[in-house]
Amino acid sequence: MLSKFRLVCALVAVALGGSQAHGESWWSRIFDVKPSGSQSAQELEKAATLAIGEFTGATGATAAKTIGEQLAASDEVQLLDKGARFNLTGRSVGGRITGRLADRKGKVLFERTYAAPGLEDNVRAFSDDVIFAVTGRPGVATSRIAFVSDLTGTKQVYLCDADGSDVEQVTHQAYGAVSPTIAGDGSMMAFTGYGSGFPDVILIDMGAGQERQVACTPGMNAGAAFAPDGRRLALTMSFVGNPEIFVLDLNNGHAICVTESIGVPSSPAWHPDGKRLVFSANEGLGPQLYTVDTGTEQPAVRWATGYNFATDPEWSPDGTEVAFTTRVNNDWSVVTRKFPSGSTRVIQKSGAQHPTWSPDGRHLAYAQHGQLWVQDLTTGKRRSIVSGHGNISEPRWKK
Amino acid sequence: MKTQPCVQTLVATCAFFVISLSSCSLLHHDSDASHVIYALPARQAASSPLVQPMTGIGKPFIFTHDRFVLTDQQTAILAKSAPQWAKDKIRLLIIGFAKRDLPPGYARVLAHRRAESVRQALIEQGLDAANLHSTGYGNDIPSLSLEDSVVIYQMK
Repeated sequence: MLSKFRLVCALVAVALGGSQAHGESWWSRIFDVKPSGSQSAQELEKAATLAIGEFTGATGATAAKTIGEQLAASDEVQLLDKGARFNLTGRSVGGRITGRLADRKGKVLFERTYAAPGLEDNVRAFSDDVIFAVTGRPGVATSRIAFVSDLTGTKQVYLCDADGSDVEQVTHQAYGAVSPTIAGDGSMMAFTGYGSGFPDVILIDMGAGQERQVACTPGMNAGAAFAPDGRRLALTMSFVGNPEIFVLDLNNGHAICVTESIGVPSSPAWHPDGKRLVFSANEGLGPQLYTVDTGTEQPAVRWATGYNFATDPEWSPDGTEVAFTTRVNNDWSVVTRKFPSGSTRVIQKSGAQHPTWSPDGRHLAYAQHGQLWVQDLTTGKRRSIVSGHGNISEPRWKK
Repeated sequence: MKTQPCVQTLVATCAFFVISLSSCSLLHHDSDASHVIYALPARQAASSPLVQPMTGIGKPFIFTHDRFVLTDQQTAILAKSAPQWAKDKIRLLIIGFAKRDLPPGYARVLAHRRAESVRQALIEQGLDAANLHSTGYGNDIPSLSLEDSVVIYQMK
């Protein structure tokens, strides 16, 4: 047994040594790093290229390897053997990481210590900081996705990491919980709960785990969406008679009505400016998309999408596109459309529903045939990140 | 001309009292923000078939596709039952359901809108609005009822 272990170690050492002998670092083999000679000097100057340098300490090697894997999987930065614009070094002991990002002149862009209990959590946080510093876009490694599953027999809300790992049940509502939304800072989640026997909107403090009802008016209360400031919810309520879209101030419990519908207004979602809403409304001709400015009394305006069925809209993080659910050839499909006008792109057909944008705007998550999928909008690659976990619906990515 | 502001004030004051007495609890109208601000009313005690066993009265009302308006035939059925319900002053819970494969967020509101159509028809037939509660379960509780339907329950 011991001799086999020694043999494996020797082979790894030879393999790594061989790499070094050819002027490549060991991680360049593992992460499929492109040689810098394949790009022009100008391209390299602009590209988010990164070299992983030395990580000292007892868990330094493991930390460097995991960071490399995380960054490579993100597709946001290009790992280079030499000639990279940025260089990553650090130290790791007992899973804690002190990471340093410097440019090629040696100027330190940031140096931070990550002291979460597990190495993986620290790697994710470090990786997101590196991506933000290098690209200006938020990383998604530390972001989480809420979704609904009927795994326990009733619909309940769950959370998972952006790669589908670490699935945890958040709600334990009698008769079910649906339609989750997470505040931008991750401190609160709101959902529609049936604990009273009626659809009410309930808020959870994600730190303390405490729940409180924020909308339990006569009729229905559903479909809440956190405003970017985390202090307001847009939701559908019907205490005035017909269902309408309201904006609820969580500080004082007061609400304003922003629609005047005779039909079915649902699924409000905020523009990143925190002023405008996009929502679906069926005023007799099937659900269509509308926008409304919550700061004025201007009536909602129909936004022509080219489809006669459009629900579950969500604005991209930069506000230039809206993703929504529609029907293509009688099949549920997820599409994106430039806002206010422009091209429409079918992202996924065959039963895909309820798209939600990643914080960096590069990915869409959606439910399809009971599974949770994430699709890279740049490459078109997609993968099922949660499956075999009941029937999954209504994913919502923390922004 | 001089009396016009006084008249406006009187009308506004009356409107304020009328609306304040309603269940919507209108607080005030902020002329700067331009929106009416509501304090949310709480739901009065009401039983639900999720919490305790309840039986539907009569046959469910079926709605097809994305429809939420009652047909003439459905209105006639309600008109037949309504006088007795009004006389007995019974409390009704009207629950809407939607097709199982519809996007859930839309299904919830569509289901409620269907239930509200039935509630409005009963109010027009003379039933007291205070005795009529409506809500929508969309396709969240598939074990409870038919798809695309509205069921009327009698509350105790």
